[in-house]
Amino acid sequence: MDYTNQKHPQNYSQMEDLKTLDLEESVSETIMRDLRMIAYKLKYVLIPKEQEDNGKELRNWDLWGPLIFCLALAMTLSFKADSTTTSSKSDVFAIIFVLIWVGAFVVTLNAQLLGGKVSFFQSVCLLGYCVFPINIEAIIIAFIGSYLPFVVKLIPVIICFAWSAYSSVGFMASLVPPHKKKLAVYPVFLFYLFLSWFSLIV
Amino acid sequence: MQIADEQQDVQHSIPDLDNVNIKLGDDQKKVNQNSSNTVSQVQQPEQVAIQIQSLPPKTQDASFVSQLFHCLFKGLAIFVFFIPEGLLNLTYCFIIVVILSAIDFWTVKNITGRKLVGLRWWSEVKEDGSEEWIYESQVANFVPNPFNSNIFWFAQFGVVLTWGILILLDLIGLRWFNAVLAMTAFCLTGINFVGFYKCRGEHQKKAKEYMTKIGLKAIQQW
Repeated sequence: MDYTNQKHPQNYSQMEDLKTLDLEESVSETIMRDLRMIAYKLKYVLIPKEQEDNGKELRNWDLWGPLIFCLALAMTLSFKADSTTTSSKSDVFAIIFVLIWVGAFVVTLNAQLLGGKVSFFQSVCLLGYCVFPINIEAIIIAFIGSYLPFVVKLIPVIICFAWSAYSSVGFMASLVPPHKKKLAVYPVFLFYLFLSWFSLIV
Repeated sequence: MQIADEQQDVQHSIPDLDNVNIKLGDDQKKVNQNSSNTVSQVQQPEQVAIQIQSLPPKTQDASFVSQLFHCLFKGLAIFVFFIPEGLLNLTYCFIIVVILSAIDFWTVKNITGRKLVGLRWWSEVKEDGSEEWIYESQVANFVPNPFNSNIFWFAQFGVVLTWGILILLDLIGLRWFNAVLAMTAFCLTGINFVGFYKCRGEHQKKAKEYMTKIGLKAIQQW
């Protein structure tokens, strides 16, 4: 293939430009484009105040973020599990991994069945990205948890759980008809509550 | 005058042939195609009318680097899967195989798919929230290098088949952890395979339309 085609400007924030990308862009451009998308979504999730444009860019869903955070959380918790309880490393790892993906799948299915018109993968993507705060608190607790009493450990857990839930509820609630909002949002709470509680007791 | 009219007609139709992509509404790509076609139009008009009608097949060289990367991560994933439990803790095995499969998925979808067989697929979420899958291919007269395309399809299909067999073996042997891992890898490679297969269908349709148009033009010329 000839690589002499001129490169189109890579303004990734516009859907139209995605269509004009040559089939012949270079590898580094592809990588940078994907990395920028991940960074944008992460910022969107971590800083709820910045959700002005209603996540137009969120429509370019990708599952890399959820995969990374899921693996990180599972690794952190299974690493910690070895030293404290009797459950084996791989059990904890498997539970977390399967739970995150199946949980995201079920929550999305629930939103779809309630009449919300949402792309399946976009919703899974957002739920996966919102796991990041729980990741943070799992790491905090893993490092300094053994020196702190239980009540003090509870504080970061509650903060991060609220953070995750708040970030994702905005999106989920906008998907379904108004009178079914609570029905759609309740599984999301449950999902993050379980993850936070699991990271606390392991 | 007649030839000039025909030339005009042909000029407009060639960009159409090259842009039988779904949802391609950009003029920039058409401009690109035009610029590569206009080189041949500098010559005498009568011969040009005949030349444009059947573009020479756009071929490519066998690209060994792309082929290597295409097979590398797949092979590594399967290799690590088979390392016995004594040598490698199951958890680490799971993590490594999943990461390798994910890297392989990204490489095949974004890089080797384009470079080896000139196909690309993705999904777009529209304003009202519904999802649309888009399959894109190279121009209708594109002929992939047979070495490239053989390696691509054999490797992809072979890997999907391998993971499928491994799932069955693990289920029969009641090794659930390995079965889940094999299922994850199967899904990742399978999705890529299905996506590119559909792309190939689009490309063949495009090539057939192109051939039909050439045939019609040839008949018109008589």
